[in-house]
Amino acid sequence: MIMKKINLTPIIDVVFILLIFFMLATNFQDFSQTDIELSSESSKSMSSDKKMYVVNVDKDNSYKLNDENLHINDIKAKILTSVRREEEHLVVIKPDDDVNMQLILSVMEDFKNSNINNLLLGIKDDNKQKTDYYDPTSRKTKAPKILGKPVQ
Amino acid sequence: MKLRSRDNHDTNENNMLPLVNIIFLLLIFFMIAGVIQKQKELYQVDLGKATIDKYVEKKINTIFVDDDGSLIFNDEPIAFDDLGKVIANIKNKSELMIAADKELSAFRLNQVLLILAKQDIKKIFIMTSKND
Repeated sequence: MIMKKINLTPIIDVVFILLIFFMLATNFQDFSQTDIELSSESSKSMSSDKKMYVVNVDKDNSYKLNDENLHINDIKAKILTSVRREEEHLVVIKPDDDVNMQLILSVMEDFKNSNINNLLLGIKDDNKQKTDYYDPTSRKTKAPKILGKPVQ
Repeated sequence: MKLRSRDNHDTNENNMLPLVNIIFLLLIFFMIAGVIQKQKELYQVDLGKATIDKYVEKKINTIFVDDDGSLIFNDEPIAFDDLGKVIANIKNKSELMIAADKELSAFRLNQVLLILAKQDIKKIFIMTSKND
């Protein structure tokens, strides 16, 4: 019996075309999202009864919890004690003006991964701020007002 | 010298097999690992990397904020001063997505968020690029 050899060339052609199609049409872009609550003077959801953790984030990766310089792990530990005690609490992340978006997101990601969920992003409600372009010399030194009592 | 054409033919075809195998593997990889969908237009905004919540693909008003503070709202470039007016005129004020560049300063983000807060947007999402 003579075995007839199958010619592989056409199938390779088709597979190549399919491969090129899938390589071009495929998309590996993957997104994530997070919803942010804003904390400002005008925010209605704020309540002064809740324990407040105000976390200041600086450009050089230094953090303050209620104006006290602390390591991020200590800040998380302090907040987590509230979480464990099931106290009503709010965590306000207040980035410094020159902090970039990536750092804000990293902090939020870090907190959420540590089961700290009541996050708010502090916004500065300053009507006098009219400059369209950021000028570091025009920065206001006044701390933005946030409702609620800071934790001692 | 006597050449055996049949044997030569066989060797040639056999040599193609590893290539075909690899191409098949690549094909299967792209078919399984990738998703065929339209590349989302990001307007050169380099999103910050963070894996927080699952991204839900839906039609939602989106503001792109580049690192220099330039804004694109629903595919239209808009001036910062017009943002308030534009937001005031949108129909669905319940949700809004911000796609901000990773180099955007908190100062500029604050300016945008202030306007959104004044327009009473109920839920604001920040879009990020998933960590690898």
